[in-house]
Amino acid sequence: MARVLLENVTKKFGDVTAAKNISLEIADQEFMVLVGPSGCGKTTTLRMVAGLEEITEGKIYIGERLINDVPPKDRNIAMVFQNYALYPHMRVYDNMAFGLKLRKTPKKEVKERVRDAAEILGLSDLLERYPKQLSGGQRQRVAVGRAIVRRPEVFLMDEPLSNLDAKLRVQMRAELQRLHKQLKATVIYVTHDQVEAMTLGQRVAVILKGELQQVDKPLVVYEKPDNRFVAGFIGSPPMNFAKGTVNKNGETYTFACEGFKLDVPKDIGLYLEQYVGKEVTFGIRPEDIWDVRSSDWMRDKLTLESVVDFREIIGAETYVYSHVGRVSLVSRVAGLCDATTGSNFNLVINLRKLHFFDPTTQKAIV
Amino acid sequence: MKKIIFVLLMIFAVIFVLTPIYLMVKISLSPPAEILTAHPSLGMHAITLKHWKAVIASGELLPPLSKSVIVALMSVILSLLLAIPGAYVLSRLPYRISSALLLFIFLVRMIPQIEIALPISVSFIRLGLLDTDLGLALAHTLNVLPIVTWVLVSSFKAVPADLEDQAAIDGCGKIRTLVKIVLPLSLPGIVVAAIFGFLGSWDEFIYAIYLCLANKTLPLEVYYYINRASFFIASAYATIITIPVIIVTYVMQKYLKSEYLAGAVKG
Repeated sequence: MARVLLENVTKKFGDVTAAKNISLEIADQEFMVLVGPSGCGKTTTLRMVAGLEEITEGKIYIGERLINDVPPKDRNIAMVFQNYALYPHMRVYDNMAFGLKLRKTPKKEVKERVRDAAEILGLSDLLERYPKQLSGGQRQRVAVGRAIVRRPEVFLMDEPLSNLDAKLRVQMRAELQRLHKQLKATVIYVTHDQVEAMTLGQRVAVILKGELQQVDKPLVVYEKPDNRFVAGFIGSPPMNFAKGTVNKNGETYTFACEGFKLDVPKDIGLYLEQYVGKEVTFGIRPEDIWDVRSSDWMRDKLTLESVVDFREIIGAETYVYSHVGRVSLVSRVAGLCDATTGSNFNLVINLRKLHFFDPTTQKAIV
Repeated sequence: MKKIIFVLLMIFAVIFVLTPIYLMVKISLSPPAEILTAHPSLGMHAITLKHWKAVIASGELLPPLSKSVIVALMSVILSLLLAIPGAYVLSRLPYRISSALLLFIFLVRMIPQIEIALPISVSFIRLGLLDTDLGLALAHTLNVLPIVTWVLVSSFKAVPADLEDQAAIDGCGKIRTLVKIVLPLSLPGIVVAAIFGFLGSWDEFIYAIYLCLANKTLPLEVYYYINRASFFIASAYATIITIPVIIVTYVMQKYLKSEYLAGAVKG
């Protein structure tokens, strides 16, 4: 079947390296999401799999076939572009049938396949229309439908939902998941939107600055980021970071920065042994910083007194931006938080969820 | 107020453009006594069809008319055939290279035609192209090729690159992508280019006078009658030259819509 294998793939545009030494195996029928900020090389990587970009170094296999020099049309892939790329001079039917006709598929089969795909996507009544007569969401569906009718081994999707409005995006997300189950195809999906990455991907590959940072299940990437970049990229609002030093006080490991000092639980502290007396980067997610008033048992915990800079009220939760000494922290508080700018806000840090990173290599220590 | 000024300016512009055409038509329809005076009037007082009858009865209209049509159509086809592949490549090259090459193409136009026409006619004697439709069409192609290429480059550039990527994935090679995707979407640009090509050949004079001996084109016919001081016949021929120009432009303008690319990509 169709696993996709990238072996040390590199892409250079002149002096600029867009993708550096990327090795990644995507299993058959897997939904793999490549996620990263814009310009990180994820689209370039996808385009190399598609054959739209030459591979500077390395090898790409689809199934057992080395496809470095195979033209796009012979790779048995279909691609959905961010801006749909529908042929404006063709009706929806012809847009979807174009690839099949070029492959000399019998007319009857073309008709059946287009009909089936249109049915799945709710496009049956629109087949005679031109792209300009469709709404954004409908165009997006046609673009997906055009990929489906081809019945390719691998679907490549380049930010297919980013031009849709928020509500439609949620709807299409669910639809894509359903399609993936129904079609049993391998999907490589590129996005900069981490919500899409977390919800769609069976596995997520985080790419930053052209390099593959971490590949794992979404929740693992979230809870156990391999390095500081991944920790800072996945999660919104992003993880809080503070530089400070590790000390050992008898059997207890402590972390001190320019704002606060805390005792590190013993099981986590053990990993810090070789950093005693040295600088580390401390990390804590916004949802692991609590408002001390939210629960009684927190009263006897270590509280940090912070001063509120501002807050963002989302509705179901409030993001409180505050600082302790010279360290800025974002915390995510359920419901409406009354902390106003300039007021004191007492925090409790969830000591079970501490992250530490090596400040030179940026790798996660624990 | 702005609107009134605009309308007045437009009226002025229309009068400015139409007056010579009116005079040409008027002369071709006027009795000689009305024109050949010290102070001919602007209005039309008497109408006569005698000059037109003379033109048609002479039997000298059809050969130059058909020659002009054939040569113009040939040079449209030739210039499009040559310019389409070239313009497609230019439109996909980096801007710095393509603009330099385009400028280079225009170099031919910078040298006065009257100078190039001589060496061309000398080589055409050797090649047996002198006084042939194909020969004149080739010379006219040389003339209109830069502008045709230029128009095509800009209309090809407007076709989004993603459509070509999609075509490649759908199974098109480069040539099929050009024929099936890029050309249909550049139709307005191709029409404009074709109009330029047609008009560039239709009223061309300098190459024609070098390269035609026995078989004349319409502009040469006008020149012939002007030389013989037959203003009325010359005016009638000039009017005949003008009519197809108006028809071609009118028919083609319906292709000049801007919505050819609507719905292709989110924009």
